[in-house]
Amino acid sequence: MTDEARGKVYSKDYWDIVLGQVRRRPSAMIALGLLVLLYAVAIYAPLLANDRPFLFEGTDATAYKKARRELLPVTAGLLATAKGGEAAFDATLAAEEARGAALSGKERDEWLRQREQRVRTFDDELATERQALALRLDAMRKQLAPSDRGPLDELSEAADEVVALSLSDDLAGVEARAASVEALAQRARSECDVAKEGGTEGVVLVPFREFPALQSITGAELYFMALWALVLSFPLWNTLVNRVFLGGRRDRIRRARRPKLAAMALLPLLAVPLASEQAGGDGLLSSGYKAGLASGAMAATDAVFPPVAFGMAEQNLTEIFRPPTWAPSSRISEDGYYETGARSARVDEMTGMAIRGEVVDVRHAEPERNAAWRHPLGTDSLGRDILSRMIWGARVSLSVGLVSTLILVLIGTVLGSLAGFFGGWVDLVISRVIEVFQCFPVFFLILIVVAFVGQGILYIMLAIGLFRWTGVARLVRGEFIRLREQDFVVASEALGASSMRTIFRHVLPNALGPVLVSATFSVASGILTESALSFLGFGVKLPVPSWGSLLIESSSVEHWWIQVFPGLFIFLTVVLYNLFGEGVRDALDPRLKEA
Amino acid sequence: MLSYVLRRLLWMVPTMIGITVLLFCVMQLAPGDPAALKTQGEAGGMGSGSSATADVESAYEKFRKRYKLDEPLGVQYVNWVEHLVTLDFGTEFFRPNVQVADELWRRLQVTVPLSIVSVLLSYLIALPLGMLSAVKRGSLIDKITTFGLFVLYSLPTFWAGLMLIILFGQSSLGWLPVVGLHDQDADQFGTWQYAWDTILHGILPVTVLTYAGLAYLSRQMRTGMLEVVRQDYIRTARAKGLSEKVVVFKHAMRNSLIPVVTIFAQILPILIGGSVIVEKVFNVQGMGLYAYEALLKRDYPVIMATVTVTSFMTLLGFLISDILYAVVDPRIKYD
Repeated sequence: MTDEARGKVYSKDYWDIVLGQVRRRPSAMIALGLLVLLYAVAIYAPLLANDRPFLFEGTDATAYKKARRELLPVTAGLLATAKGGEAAFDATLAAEEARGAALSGKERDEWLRQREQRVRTFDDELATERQALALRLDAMRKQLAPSDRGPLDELSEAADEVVALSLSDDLAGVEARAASVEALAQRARSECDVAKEGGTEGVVLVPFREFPALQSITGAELYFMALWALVLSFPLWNTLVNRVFLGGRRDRIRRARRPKLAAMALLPLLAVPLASEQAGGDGLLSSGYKAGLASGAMAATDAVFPPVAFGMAEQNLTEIFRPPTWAPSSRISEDGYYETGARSARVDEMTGMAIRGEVVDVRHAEPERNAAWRHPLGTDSLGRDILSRMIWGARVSLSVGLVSTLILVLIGTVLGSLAGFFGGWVDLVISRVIEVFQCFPVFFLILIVVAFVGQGILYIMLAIGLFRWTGVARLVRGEFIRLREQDFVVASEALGASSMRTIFRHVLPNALGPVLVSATFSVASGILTESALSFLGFGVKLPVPSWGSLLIESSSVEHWWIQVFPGLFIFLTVVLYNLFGEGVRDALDPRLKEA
Repeated sequence: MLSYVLRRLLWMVPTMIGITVLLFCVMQLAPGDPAALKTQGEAGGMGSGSSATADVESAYEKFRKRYKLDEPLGVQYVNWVEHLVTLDFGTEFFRPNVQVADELWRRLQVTVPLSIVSVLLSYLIALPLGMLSAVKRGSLIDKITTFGLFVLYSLPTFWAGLMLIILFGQSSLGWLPVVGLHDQDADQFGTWQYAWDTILHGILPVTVLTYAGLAYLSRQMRTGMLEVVRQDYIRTARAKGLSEKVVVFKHAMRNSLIPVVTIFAQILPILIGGSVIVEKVFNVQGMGLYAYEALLKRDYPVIMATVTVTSFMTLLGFLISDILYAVVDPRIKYD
């Protein structure tokens, strides 16, 4: 058959109909759009709310001086390892193992934990030390004029040489050069001292340009950012591809569905290597950009901050429990007093003296003291911006729902299809197990497991997945029982297809519709469960908050904003998921629409 | 009929065994040794020193002996089930003179009435609402109730509770008490005053317990009603000239009630799970709060007892619902 002919006999397949139906439901499409945006907020959190600037141009004397101070010890460490060679390293490793074997109880646990982080091979150890030196050298080089960089370059080359010699086990060679490397480090240290004001000795720092917010992004984050860029621009490029490359022909568009999905999943992998090596950490920066800029250690000619210029964990102890800044109760007068409410200026009853309020510390690049957008959702017990924490918290809340659903759908589908397809005693056993699980107040069981086994995000996902699969299993079982007597299944078996092939190629795809609907509702219930767990204090542990754990920062009714806003977002997300789920359900089964 | 009930009871046995096995496994998952936890907790009060250490050692051994923790798992399981059958849940971990069964019974007297009231309330509200919605399908009323129930259905219980506290509590409207089920000086109240006090305190917790079940039930009622309205016998009833009232209440309602009445078995575990949250939010001294506090303290006997009791109550709910189903629907065969 030619493509022309195939185009003419094209008939809509299952997913064509479903997608078409979903597309025709405005409420489901709006919900989907808003969900995509919500996930975008979570994924692009580092670019939306951060105390690191997008762009920083200026000098950082503190970081420079710190790097210079550490030049000698770091070089010495590198040389010591290089001189010892592989034999010495292995010997220390063996000694450490022997020490650990003798330990027991808590000390042993502690030792095991440290062993996890310890470098295991000589090559890695040497590379780590070299990296540490490179970090210091780079921190200095970027703030030096090219003419001043000489000593640093020489030190870098010499260090490379020593490392190469040591790796090729030429310990005599290392020994011979060690002294000269040390001398080079000494020279770099003394020649690259920052010039005192008015002095002639030393170097003058040159402004450098950096993108700190971008450099803090890890490879995994980059992947999701790229993926979401593709998702957000999907309508655009999809139309383009369909019109231009596929000629608008439905059969070709249908066949391109899977390649498109694969491309969406795989293409973002290209972005992963772009992640900065120092991602996640702050390098040599100890005090943060805002503090550096405020204290004058950094001098910026240009610094651009994200829309919400507050970090997720950035504290401001002069702004504890500040109400949303658009509310009149949060107004602060010129001298830093709250103008109304419990914390306004007042007189001490005992001494008759006025109690001084603390003057709110407005840092570099932050909106001014009383600006409505300074803390639109207020601050918490450590003066952290709730909006920023909610933007970051969306990551936890949204991913718990998704991953736990993935687990429960997997378990439920496998067990449900086994029970439905094979029937007999398999069905009997699985049905009994389902019944047992259904007798538990599931939330209670999840609570117990999380309280006993561990409170990490992973445990919560697992616990939800392990105890909530019965619904999907029953659904799949029912679908399988309905489908397995149908002609196409009988035909598949009559043709000699194995059970596995029949299940995966013929029955399962036809049973997936209801599972998809149920999964959508499960995500909503997973988000609810996680937030309820967090509310009871068994939630995700810091530093990254979830919406549920934000909500319990204060239980006082006085701090209403802490309870209102995170809860509102949980509520909205659940509504969106349920709306979308209803849309898909109606699309799958128009008969149910009336229900 | 009797044989049907008996058979259902028999079928419950493997399920019950399954429940106890699963519970036992979950408890074994718990890291840390209860004996160590207990004896170390006591040692903390005694101070340190070598004699204290020796005391701890012996206390530890004694404790393990007393709770038979050094027996193999199988034996421990059988022991535990033996005690369960006689409703002997042991004593509280940190208050050895308090029988868990007694305390649990006291707490259940708070939680069960609350649950029953909220189940009744949700039925009372949900059934007319669902019917109205189904009868006036597509109308503005239908759209508004459907949307309203949808929103209620998505509302997190703990948040709803917190918002109600913020709204009605002392700091804003000040209409209703928000802590506990009684005033502090409730002991001195007369009967009527006491009842009134209890009702006032109960309004918010019952509201929160009710709304989720209500939304679910009402949707089910609407679905069932729509399903029934399509049936031939409804058309026949209309065709022979019966009034709309008779058609709706006599023909349609009765039949659509069948699945809805039996749903309460499904609502029960949701309510019990929800009671943990609601009782925590409003500080009601019921079973949910008891279990929650036990979790915080890792009071194993209490946790085991509460979970076992609630799951058996759920099982009982399923049984009652099955029997009810058979009673209200004559088409169900008893074999």
